[in-house]
Amino acid sequence: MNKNSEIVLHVEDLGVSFGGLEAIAKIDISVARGEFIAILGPSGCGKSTLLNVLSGLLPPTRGTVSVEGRPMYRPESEAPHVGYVFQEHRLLPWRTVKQNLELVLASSKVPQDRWDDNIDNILETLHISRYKDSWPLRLSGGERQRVSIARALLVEPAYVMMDEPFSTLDELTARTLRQELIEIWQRTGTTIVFVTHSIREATFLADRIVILTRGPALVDDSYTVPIDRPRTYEDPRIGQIEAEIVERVLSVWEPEKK
Amino acid sequence: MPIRINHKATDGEAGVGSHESTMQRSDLLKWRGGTIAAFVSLLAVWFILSIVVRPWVPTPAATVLAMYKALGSAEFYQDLLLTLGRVLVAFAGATIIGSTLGIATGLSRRADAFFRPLLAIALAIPDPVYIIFAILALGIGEQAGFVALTIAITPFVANIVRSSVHARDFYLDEMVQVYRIPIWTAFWHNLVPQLVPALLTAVRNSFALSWKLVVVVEALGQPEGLGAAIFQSFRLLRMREMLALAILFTILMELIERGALGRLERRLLRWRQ
Repeated sequence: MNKNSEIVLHVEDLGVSFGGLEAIAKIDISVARGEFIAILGPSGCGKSTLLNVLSGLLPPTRGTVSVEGRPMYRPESEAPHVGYVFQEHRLLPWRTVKQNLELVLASSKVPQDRWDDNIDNILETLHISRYKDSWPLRLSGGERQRVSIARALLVEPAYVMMDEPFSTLDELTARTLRQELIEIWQRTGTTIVFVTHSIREATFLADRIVILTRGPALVDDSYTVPIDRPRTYEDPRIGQIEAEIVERVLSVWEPEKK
Repeated sequence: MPIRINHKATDGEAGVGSHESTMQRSDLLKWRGGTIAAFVSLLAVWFILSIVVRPWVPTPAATVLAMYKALGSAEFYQDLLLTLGRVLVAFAGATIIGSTLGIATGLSRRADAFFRPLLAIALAIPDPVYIIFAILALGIGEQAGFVALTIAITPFVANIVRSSVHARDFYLDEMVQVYRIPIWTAFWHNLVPQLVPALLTAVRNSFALSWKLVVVVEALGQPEGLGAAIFQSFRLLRMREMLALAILFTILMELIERGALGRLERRLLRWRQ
């Protein structure tokens, strides 16, 4: 992994309000290049709002978001490219897998003469080469999510956001995809911001886990996962750390029950 | 006992596919049976009416003979071509204007605020009113028919398309924004394909309304065309000829709709199959 100390994403004093309603109180996060961070937060805490800000969909009410040292919100032509793997695949069903990938490449900075090679490589990496000319509706849930991951990585993004991307899949498929995601991440060095409800998933995947409070969102704790890679589900330390984080999370989300 | 899990999706899909094809065959047989029963019932009712309401309702056999005679005359084809031309012009005009209005009102609140009351009023006005006013204002030339038909059909098309724009998948809009896909690319590759089913419905409605209203326009204000020929037969109380022309025209329109529009639909929605 070519992780280094260069900060790719820097969020400082971020606040978001809708009318008088505060969705995000105050968030400060820095993510280093090549880092894999997981964001844990209860339902309704403002995770989606945070992702909307980090994807460029929603300007913050307060604070700054910098990507590679420059403001996130800048003229369209200079705006950074980010990848996003949504909870649902969000592929255009009337375009084949290849056409879906070409659509996002057309708006990226990747030169056109590299498109075919890049598409072939990423499909090969995700084991879905044979579906290159298939319609998305012909694919299984796991295969569609693989295409969605391919789409996010193809645009050579500053970072990739993932919003509970495996939550709608069966556990066996989700496990396989988590393992493959780790392999791709290690190979490409892509920076990943992964949002999940699952503490075990966060522990298995991430270098660092950021815990948000119940809404309005506030970063309450940040936990570095002290397990070397490669990690396995059978590793007893995963369970131990999961239990430790559950303790911390409960003290943040439900302090009255402590 | 060990539980065997079949990981091969294709195995499951093959089973589902086979079941589906059996279902489709069974549905097709039911559909064909229903269609035949409907035609037989229609013929029976027609035959009874031809006895009860004699001589105003001709018998099926006499009507078939009149159809055969019409098919052998050059005048029929001249009228048919003229009417078809009018149908296609009115259909194209109403579809293009209606779709544009539907997309504009679906996407823009201002356009919606302006056009929605106008469309509601336009939908409430009976179609013959447009035809009569157009003939009074523009005379009995081609313009009157085109204007009347376009005004009568456009609101239907606009309404269908507008509803479809509102019902689009906003998640896909978000995806398009996140990946910074330019607005026109997003329009053609994200919005328009989502509207295709509604556009096809609008096209079908527009086509059906066009050919029905063209006949009325021709009957009221044109010296030539199938509508005029049908009206002429009515004035001369030649009910066999009137019914024969109407049936021939209806069959032709159905063939066009099922052939051309059906093929277009299969082509545009092939990703669903």
